[in-house]
Amino acid sequence: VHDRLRARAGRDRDARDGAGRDARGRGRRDGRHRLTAAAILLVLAAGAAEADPASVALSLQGDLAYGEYLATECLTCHQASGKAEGIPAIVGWEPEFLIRTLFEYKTGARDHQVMRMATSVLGDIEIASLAVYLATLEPH
Amino acid sequence: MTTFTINRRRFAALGAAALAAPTIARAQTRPKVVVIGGGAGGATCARYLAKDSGGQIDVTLVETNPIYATCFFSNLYIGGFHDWEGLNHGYEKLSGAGVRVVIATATGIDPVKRVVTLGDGKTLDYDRLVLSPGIDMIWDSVPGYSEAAAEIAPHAYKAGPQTRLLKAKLDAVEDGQNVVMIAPPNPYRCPPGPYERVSMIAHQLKSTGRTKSKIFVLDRKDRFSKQALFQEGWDKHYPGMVEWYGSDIIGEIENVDPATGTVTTGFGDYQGALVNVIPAQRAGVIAQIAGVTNEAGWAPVDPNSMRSTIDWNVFVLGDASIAGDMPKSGFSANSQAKVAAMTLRHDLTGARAFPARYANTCWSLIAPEDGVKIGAQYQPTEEKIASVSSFVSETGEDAATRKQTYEESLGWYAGIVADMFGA
Repeated sequence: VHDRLRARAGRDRDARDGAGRDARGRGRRDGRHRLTAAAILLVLAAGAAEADPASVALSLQGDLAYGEYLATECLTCHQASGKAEGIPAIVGWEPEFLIRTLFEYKTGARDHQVMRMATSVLGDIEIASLAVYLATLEPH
Repeated sequence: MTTFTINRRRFAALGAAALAAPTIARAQTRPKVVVIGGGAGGATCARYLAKDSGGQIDVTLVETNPIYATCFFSNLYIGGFHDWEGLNHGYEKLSGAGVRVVIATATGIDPVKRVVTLGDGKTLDYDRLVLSPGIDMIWDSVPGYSEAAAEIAPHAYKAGPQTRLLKAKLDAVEDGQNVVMIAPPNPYRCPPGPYERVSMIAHQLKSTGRTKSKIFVLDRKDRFSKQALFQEGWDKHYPGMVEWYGSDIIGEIENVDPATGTVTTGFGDYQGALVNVIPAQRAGVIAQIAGVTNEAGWAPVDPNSMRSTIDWNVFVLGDASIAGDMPKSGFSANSQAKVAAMTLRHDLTGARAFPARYANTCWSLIAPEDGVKIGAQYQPTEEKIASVSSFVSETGEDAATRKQTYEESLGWYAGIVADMFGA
């Protein structure tokens, strides 16, 4: 499970790094505008961070053991087996999807009283850790 | 950290025992945890200890009943929304998860030798003891009431034969005959429970054409959980059928006569074909036998761990504990069990410890597909487990929201039962 998790986290990192390399590459190709382009990129990056509340959590390596502990709260209602009998299943998701979903509740983009309350006390590392742990559970 | 207030003789005895035989040296094989009480606190704690320690901890669960009937959702049985069998759960899957389940009643605890005595005289050694015994009734908190009287005027506040007795008596109420409930003083199990029950009783009466009957609620406090939501619901669904009187109106309950169904108060007499007396409560008796309760009958705990502040080797979960801002609920007990299990694994196997955090949500059904809820997140402070974030359903919510809340409560029931007993 841990290996699978590391592999998955690695893929996520690669995907993000890949995007970064493309942007830097374009900047280097045009010498005259390199500085300007770098400055614009910085501004864009700052803007993106502001616009995307999940960006910090997405950049963090979740702590599996911490996630396992935090997830015990989720699993009172969301079944570890992935069965959904009135409350949705949350196991086996791609970490990024879970992180984004939790931030939608945390910011109020999605409205649900329990989820808004539950996410109000979760920081970036808590959310990143929940995401890596819950991804390791297989629906059965 | 909370100061451990222990009487000196006890402290000296426990300290000497600890010095003489440190846990790890004493437990030559696996450390032993005995959990007493197989409900939302105990079953959850036993299951998580066995599951997460990967067999490193020897976990024994002691429970009196081979089949556990959940008190949560038992009002829905009274209201006709849930069958009885669906509230009943066995311990087979817990056994499969590595918990040794012993069906017996714990009758004695030696906190120095760390031994639990069972009703049949057998004993169980422990390194750590988890008590999750729920509540016991303080029978004489209502003059005229007793354990024997409960066979005529049921409390139905422990799920089982009492619940079925109340339902049978409700079914026998004739149109125009009344129901009287004595609602308990704080603190008690399931704060919205009596008022959800009033709603379910009203629904049963109304849906069977007994609308000339009334329900009188004689309360021993002057306000209650989700009051605005319940009172709005009663006016809407059961107009003229529910009359609630707070302690500021009725004063003391002076007497209950189960034979005639008469309740005498400072405000006058009330008579019912069904009298539901919910007495004042305290921690289940084994917590008192263990010596971990205070003068009010509840067990003080360290907000960081659910560890007893009186006996370091004991953890107390759920209704029996004094859990600060947390209500006495199945959800709370389940949440506290996870903090205790995490602490115990750290304590006994060196597993990582994390800061305690707790959660609770209580759903209540007012009428068909008219569900409401209240919830909070909690974290430990120096003094107590404190609420840090909370919500409650609003009055005037639309039918779709209420239906969704009800459906969510069904999902919660399936979820917590799987979390307690295994899936």
